[in-house]
Amino acid sequence: MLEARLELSLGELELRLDLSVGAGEVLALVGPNGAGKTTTLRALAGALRLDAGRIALDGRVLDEPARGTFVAPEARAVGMAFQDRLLFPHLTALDNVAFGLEARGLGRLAAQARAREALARVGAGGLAGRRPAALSGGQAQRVALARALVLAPRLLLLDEPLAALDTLAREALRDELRRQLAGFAGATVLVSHDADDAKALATRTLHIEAGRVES
Amino acid sequence: MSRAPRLLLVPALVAAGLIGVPLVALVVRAPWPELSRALAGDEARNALGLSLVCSLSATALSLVFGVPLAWLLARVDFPGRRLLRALVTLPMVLPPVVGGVALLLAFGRRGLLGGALGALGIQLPFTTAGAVLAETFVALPFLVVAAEAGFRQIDPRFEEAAAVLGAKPGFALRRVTLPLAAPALRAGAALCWARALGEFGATITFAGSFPGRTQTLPLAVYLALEHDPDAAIALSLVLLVVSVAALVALRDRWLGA
Repeated sequence: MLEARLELSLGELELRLDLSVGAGEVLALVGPNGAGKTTTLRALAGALRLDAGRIALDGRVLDEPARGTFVAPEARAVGMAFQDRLLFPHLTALDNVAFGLEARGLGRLAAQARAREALARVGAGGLAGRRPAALSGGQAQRVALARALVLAPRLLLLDEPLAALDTLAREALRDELRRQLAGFAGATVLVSHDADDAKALATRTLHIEAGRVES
Repeated sequence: MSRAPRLLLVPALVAAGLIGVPLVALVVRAPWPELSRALAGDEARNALGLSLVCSLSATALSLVFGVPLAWLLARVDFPGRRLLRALVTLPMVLPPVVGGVALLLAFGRRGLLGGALGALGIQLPFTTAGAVLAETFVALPFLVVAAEAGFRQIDPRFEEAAAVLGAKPGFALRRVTLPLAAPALRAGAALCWARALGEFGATITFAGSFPGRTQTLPLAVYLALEHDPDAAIALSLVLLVVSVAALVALRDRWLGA
């Protein structure tokens, strides 16, 4: 269960957003460029600090400036698939997925074994040895999804998971995402500029513009 | 390809000749039959060994202290950053002999820090450690400049992604930032090493020219020119070969165009 009241300023953007996402629920944030969608995800992940407000996940406070509470991103139970994938170019698909596990102190072989399973679960088992440069957009997004899911997060953040794909890859990935989200026990927040994608994947949609919910 | 106007062609050829003719002369006039004798001498072997030790030590010091400095300059916005960058790159344009004088005034027996170092039993001028220090002073900026450019080329979102995936800053540095910067670090280290190997002015000023202790290859060349020109030419050839090798190692970065 994610409960968040976000207040933060970043450049031109003034973000004022209340979110509540239950376990198993998928909230889609839809809006134009610059509406604050990615900024919201970065705040939830801990890459940005709130100016005011509060983020709590399963009752644990992650960010609350008024009380001086801030949990570093690496200590949050959050998995994120980034806009533009951001797969590490010097690592294979397998090592990209194993990265978060190794960062948490898991041994290399154990991390790779679990990464291999995670890749297989998103239909990317055959890509383990490839570098990101040798992956298509759809393949890269599958690897990025596996990299987020392998951490068994309580909160899954998906930033434009279907952007920059051709129609065929987009259809296939949309089905895959729907399957994965149906089986995911935690809360999910996904960001899209495409209302159809949001409708297909989310249980609930919020339209935001200029950092606020559009009524 | 456009046709070159004659007005440009002549000075361009002069420029190429200016650099090319002396290098060709060095190769043509080298006492090839005498080469092994000249290089086998104690003086040459000592100078060569000392040069390798000093230049590799200077490169190692530059990596240990220069890479963190380059990262700070590239990634952290602190007051005085531009000033610090200018200061660190200054030795690239400063006459090396001035660097040597400055080192004496800082670490010499009566220098700014000389007293404190002396109390600890550390003496730097006219020692091998002093030669390493002089080479580091001159060569460090080459590494810092290359490494900073390398760090700047990395999309900072990769580091953010690493943190969100669970990497503490040290882990992200080791597993993401440094590997992505590795080509720039290698090029910087090669350039730094080549500069350290050829260092003359700061070394002779600060460390003197004691055979086996501070007389590196360039100093030995200069001194040998008077009493054993063949040895001087042979040692020069060694330095030329090393420089060409460094350039070849860097060719993809600099000569790729």
